[in-house]
Amino acid sequence: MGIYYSPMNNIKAGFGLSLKRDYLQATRDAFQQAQKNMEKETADLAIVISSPEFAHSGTLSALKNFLGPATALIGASSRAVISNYGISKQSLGVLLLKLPQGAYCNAACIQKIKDREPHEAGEELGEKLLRGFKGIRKDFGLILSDMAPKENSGLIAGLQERLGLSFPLIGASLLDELNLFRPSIYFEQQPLKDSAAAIIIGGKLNFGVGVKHGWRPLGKPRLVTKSENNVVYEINGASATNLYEEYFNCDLAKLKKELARISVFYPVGIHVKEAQEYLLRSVASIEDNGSLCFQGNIPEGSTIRLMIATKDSCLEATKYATREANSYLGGANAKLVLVFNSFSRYKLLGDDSAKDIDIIKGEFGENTPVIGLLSCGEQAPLASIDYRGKAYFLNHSILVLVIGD
Amino acid sequence: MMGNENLINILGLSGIIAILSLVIVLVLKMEKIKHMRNENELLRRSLDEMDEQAKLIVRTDMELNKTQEELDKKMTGLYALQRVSRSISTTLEESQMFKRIDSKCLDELGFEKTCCFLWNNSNEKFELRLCMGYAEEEIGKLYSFAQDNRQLFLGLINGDSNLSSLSFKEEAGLKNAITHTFGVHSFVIAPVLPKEGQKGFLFAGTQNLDFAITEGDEELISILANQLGQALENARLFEKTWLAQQGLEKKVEERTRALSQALEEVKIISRRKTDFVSAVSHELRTPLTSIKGYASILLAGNLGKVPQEVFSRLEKINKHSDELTHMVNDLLDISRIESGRVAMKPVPQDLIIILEKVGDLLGVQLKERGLELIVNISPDALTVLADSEQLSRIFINIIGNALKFTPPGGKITVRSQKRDHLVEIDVSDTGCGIPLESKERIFEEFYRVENPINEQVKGTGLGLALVKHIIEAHGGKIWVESKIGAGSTFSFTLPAAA
Repeated sequence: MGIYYSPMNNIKAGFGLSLKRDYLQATRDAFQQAQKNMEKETADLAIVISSPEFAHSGTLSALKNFLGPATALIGASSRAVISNYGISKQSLGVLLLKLPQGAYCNAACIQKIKDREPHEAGEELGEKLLRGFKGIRKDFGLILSDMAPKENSGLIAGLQERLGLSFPLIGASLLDELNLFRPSIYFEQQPLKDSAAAIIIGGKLNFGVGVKHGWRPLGKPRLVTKSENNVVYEINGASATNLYEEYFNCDLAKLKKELARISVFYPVGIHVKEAQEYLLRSVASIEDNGSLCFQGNIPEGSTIRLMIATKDSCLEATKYATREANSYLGGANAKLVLVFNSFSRYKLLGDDSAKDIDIIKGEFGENTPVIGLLSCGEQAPLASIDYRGKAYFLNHSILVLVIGD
Repeated sequence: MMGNENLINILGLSGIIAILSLVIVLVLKMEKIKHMRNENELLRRSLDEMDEQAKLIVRTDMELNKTQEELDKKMTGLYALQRVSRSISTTLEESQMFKRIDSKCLDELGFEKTCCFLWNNSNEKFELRLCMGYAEEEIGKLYSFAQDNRQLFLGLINGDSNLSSLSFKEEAGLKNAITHTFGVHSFVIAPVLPKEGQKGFLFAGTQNLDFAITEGDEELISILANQLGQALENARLFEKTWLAQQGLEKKVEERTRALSQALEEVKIISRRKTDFVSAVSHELRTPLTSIKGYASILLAGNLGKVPQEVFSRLEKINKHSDELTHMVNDLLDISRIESGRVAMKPVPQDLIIILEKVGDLLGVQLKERGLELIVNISPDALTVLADSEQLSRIFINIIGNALKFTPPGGKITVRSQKRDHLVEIDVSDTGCGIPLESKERIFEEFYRVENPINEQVKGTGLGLALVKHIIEAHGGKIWVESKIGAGSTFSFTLPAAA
């Protein structure tokens, strides 16, 4: 695989992608490609995204050996790695970043979240991240986690309590509630489960974020009459499952069989007043008692609608999110792009999934390093960065973070 | 008072007007509410209708998505299958065939774990021929499972039937055992059935929980297993044919060597025979010359008149000496031709001229026996390349034979015709004919057909052998067609003169 070069005075970024099967060879290969652009400078941060085959300590130890102790390492395993080359299975991607003068980053992780109060865990993570950041402008935070929506929302709430409710926090949740994929979170030399790894970047970094899903509402609005966190018991006073049973004209047993397809293609959308589009929630499980478990919380009293998308509407969303992210750079050149793309979008786009990458490259330039993963939930402010709004947990979205100079 | 009354009247009137106005407003409001209710009802109905339409859209969309998914999967699967098939069909070596199955193609089919077992009848064990997606330490477990459940797998092989995670409805135990052992969530097992040799099964599985196996997947793996079986059959057939060919080549080589040796031996024997005949003939000719010389002297009366009885005996001695000399000369000629010591000097010869000379030579005998010699030479087959003296000997021998075996009043016909660069000459007679069993042997030395005429007519049995040698020395060949009582035709070829 080739190497991209960002000819910047301040930020240096290098990216490498290896398709080699042997983890040691792949690690060396990806690192060497990425390091070529670093002009012998030590990276401040390494973001590692790999397919599940490389999710073991061997890969991370080898990479950490190459990087040295001064470079923070975070990342995650994903079903596939997003890069300039498209969406690759069985691959290892390494992005090295040398921050410009006056910019800082701090990385931290929190483990065994299930064993404790998620909110407290979030607060602890926030405190760890803020260490050394006194008096420095915090630009944005990035979090990767593998927790269930309930724990994740508690964690994010705790984190936001420390970082500020309107602090731009972006991230991805890798855990698939359908249990189809068991991800790992990478922090330093360890692949972790039931954990979250995060970084805060601050200083005077020029960046932009865009997020969009591309699903459209269909049918009449319905009221969530009984719910608790991510479990919806009743909609319009009837069993929650009635919503899907009516729409798909099938009973509960058949509905369960179609769960994977329903989860990917037909989420529900929650109308959010201050947001420009519906907040999506995909079904994670269908319970015998007629309740629906979603990949994200749905507050009682919410007005929801069934959502539907086409390939075109998804690709339009990619264009929108990409342009939105680029618009915040104020004309500066994009130097690296981080993408969290929902696995559902990837499934829906099918053979056209590479078009997402083409759109991103078209917006930011063919040779601007792109790295990303397939997520099961995305964390981002629904409105613009200027809005400095609260970060929401999203489903089915593409999130584009661009850093410019 | 009036003023108060007026005020009261005015107030009363105003009150009435106000009440009336209120009533009117109320009525209007009521109308508006009614209208709004109607509108609301219409809106609600529209929303319900819209929702019903939405349901139709969603159901249709779901069906389209399913179809698209299945189509995408089939397309990807077919491409992958095509690549695997092409790959395995490019080799005819069984071991290489399995190595050529690319794990990437099976990944594209949706199966990251694959293995193939073949049943060995001699030791009654399954042998692992292909294993992808498994670590070394897992392989033992697969072997044991295949062996322990041989009845199940042999049943599939013998029944030519597939087994997949779709097949199980009640026997969850077996499905769980397979998924647990092979470390997969879904799987397809299809028999590999070459017509001959070891048969087996192909296992393809995935641990991907979002990959729902369909009948289409089962079909693709079944096709792959069939192609594997076909490729194995081809490889085995090729190996069998190749081994048979090797064996045949070896046998041919051995036989050729044996034949060459035998031919060499025959040549040596033949050469010895020729040498022997040549030596004996030489040795015989000298005393024969003396015998004939002395007989001639005595017959001439140079040593005094001999009595009549002695004279007749001396004549016989002289005649037999001539015959013996003739035989010895023929033998010498044969041996010379065989050994290549007689070099033919082929020059264009006019067949009519040669036949005229032969006719003159044999004219008396022809006349005595009342036979007619007919010469029918085609203008395009008039000249041959031959040694003049030897060509005459050919005709003298063949026509001479015809003379002996053709009853009086018969005919001897000589014809010629062009055959490419050769001239074929046929000498036919209306004689007694040659038995079928003697047709080939009459060209052997000293062979004489057993018939009443031969018992009366003397001969050496060397004439036709000599003719054959002379013709072959010219690059031609001789054969005979004959029918008892109907005559014979001796045909021979000689190179045509340009």
